[in-house]
Amino acid sequence: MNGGRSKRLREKSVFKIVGIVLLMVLVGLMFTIVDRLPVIGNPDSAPNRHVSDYYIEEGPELTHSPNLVTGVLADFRGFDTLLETTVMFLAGVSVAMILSNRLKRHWDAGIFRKDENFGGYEVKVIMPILIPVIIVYAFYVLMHGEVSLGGGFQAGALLAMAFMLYIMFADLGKNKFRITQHFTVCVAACGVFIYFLTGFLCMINGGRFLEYEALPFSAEHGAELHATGILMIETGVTIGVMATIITILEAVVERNSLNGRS
Amino acid sequence: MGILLIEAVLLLFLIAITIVIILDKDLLSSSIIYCAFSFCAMVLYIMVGAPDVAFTEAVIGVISTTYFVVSLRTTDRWCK
Amino acid sequence: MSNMIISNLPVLVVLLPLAGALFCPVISYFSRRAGRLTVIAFAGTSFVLSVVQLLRITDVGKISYHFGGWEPPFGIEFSLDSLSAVLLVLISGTGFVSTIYSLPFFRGKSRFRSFGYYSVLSLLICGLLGMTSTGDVFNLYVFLEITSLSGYALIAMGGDKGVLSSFRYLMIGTIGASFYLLGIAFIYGETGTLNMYDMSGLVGPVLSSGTTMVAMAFFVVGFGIKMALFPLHGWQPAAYTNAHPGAAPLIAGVMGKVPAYAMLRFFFYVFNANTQYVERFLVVVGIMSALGMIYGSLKAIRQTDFRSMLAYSSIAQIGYVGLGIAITGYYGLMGAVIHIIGHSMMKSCLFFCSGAIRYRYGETAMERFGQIYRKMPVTCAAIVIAALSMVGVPPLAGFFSKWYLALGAANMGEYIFIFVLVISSLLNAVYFFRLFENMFMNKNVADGSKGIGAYLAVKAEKKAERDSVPFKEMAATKEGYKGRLEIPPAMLFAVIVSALGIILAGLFNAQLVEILGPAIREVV
Repeated sequence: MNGGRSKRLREKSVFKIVGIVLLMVLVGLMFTIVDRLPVIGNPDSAPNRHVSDYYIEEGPELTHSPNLVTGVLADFRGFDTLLETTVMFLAGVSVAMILSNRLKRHWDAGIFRKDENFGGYEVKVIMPILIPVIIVYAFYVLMHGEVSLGGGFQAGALLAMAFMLYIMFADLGKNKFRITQHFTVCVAACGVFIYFLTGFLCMINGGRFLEYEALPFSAEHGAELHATGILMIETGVTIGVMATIITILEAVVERNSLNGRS
Repeated sequence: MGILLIEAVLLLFLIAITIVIILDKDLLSSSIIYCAFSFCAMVLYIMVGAPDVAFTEAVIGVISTTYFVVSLRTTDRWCK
Repeated sequence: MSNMIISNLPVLVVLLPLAGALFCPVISYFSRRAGRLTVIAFAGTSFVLSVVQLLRITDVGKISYHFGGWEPPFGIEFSLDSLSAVLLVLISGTGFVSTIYSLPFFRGKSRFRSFGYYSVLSLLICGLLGMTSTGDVFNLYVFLEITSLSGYALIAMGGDKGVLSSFRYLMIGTIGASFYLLGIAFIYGETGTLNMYDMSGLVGPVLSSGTTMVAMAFFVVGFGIKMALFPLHGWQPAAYTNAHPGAAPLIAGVMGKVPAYAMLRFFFYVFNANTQYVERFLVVVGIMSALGMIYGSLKAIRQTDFRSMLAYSSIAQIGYVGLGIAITGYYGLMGAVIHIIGHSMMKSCLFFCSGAIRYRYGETAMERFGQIYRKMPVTCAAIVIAALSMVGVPPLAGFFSKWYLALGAANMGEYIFIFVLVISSLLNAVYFFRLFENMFMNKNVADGSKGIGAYLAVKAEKKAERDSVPFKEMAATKEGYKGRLEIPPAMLFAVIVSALGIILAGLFNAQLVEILGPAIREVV
């Protein structure tokens, strides 16, 4: 891509004007149909008639989870959640793979001082209290995904946030808690694999993929197996999400230290 | 009527934040304002009745703001 | 055991490459080679299972698989007919051949790049297979996301220019996917269901409302961006040119076609295409395709880089598919589908050969391809076969799709499309014969010491010196590739298989049309 010619093209105001006109057309189009969309809470509109009735009436008993959002996400449409977790894993692998290219130092941003020490007793006292609380809360959110708000994605993100806080504020001279990106990618792969394994176990035992009634565990009535299945897949999602977020963070931080500022 | 007013104010605020993020030349302040965008979106999600999504948006907003700020150390802070 | 495999075939075909992608990082901890072979093994198994599934569908007719045991509108389903089954065989076959083809590019590369590339390639195959199998609108979106993200990553592995092109594709592709998602939201607001079969029953009364028309417009724009239809094609030439040479055949051949197949599914199987409301959108698609055919062919003549020429040629060829969708009769649709199948094989073959030439000589500029046919006869033969097929010479696969398209246009009375078709074929002939002139009659001989093979050999030798281990003799040395065959056997296998595919798809075209017949007659 020759920089000179395309730079001049980019700055031509014709393209900007055309872009703004098209944007106005799109916004106008959206405005004209926004009053024809179904009203929230109207029980006669199409989205609330066909499939939602079944979900609301039969959902909580069939999937054994009072939180209907988790019920739909992890049970009725559990396959979509497997694919979304795969997308997260894919994002982690891609970012780590692209950023691991050892380029020469292209930019010189001398803004940040070299001798920054996040010392002070606010950090040294509050962080050791806050980080374990976040970790315990993450496990709470994971286990209570079916009953109240929560689920796998939130729990994984909270665990990763605890790790991030530790990396940013801990005194890294003393304990270098450095993990390689290969390791975190493997952990993410294990997380997604746990999800895949749950479905595969159901398949081996004679049911369809992700049919929790066919899990090879013993339970009193079939609905409890749903709860077990949902817990297993949420664990897989948690591990996958946590490892992906840590991978991306490590990739960016390592890129910084390659460029000479750490 | 009060609820609709709060929703309308939040939506306008959202548009204003977006315009500021696009036009601002200081990338560090754009990243921080992105966190405000995430916060407004979170409140809107609660108002339309989706608390799970709001919870996720809160956590992910913090994480993505952290990504933006950390990755700014590799590039220039000022956009030309 | 075999009963479980047979009854769960749709899932296994799609999810085995996913399992391969998940095993690859863990196995690569211990041995890089075992990691690559794992992915190849899973991709091969998926291909075998997809052939078994095609045989089963020719017996049974249609297969429907309900996930989680829930009945269709409440759970997700995979619904397969003969059209999906043939495309599944094509995608998994091309994917399997691509994984083998990429082996020589990764000798001596770092562990991370090796397993990263193979994981992402396997996930691309999984995403493409899933997009073809699914019968649920939101599931299609998620598979589209998997496909797009792997595409971005694989294009970004092609070096510095690859990263820039991939970033551009990312921006535009995300907008396309967002349009598609908005379209889903509006159509869900009108019908209340996300299952394709269910929606086709419910969408009838609301077809004329403003929201549905906006939803259809958003679908056209979303799929148009993903398949690079004429005005929405801006990301494509740079992306195909600068992709990693091992993944380019899959990206250029297959990844551009599956969104076209999805558009076909939407407009014919979900929305009834014979009503006047949908026909307006199909006319717009037809105009965009016709303009794209002319534009792509004209621009391809101007290119000096082989890969750019093939990329612009792809814009023209996807215009043929769009044309087939716009000409709504039986012949038009059959032409579009046969062109999807044939062009995938032709483009993949050309990109396999382009990567092979780059491996051996490091050249992609066509004027420096002189006298290549002496050293690489099989590759040049494959290029000749693929190019003749693209132009439309009879017993090869490309002729039949143009024949069906012309028949369909004549049936519907739209003679302007026949005119555009003929002109585009003539322009195809111009640039491909220029390539032949360079290959066979140019006097400059290409230099072998600049190929990727030589570069990898030099790096491996230096690394062996640094680590003081004995240097294992590779077939490539710093003077160039000096193996027994003209290119490493893995790449030769890919080239030969794809060229054979073009010939066979042409010779056995009647059987192919017979298999696809029932699925297409349903909607005409």
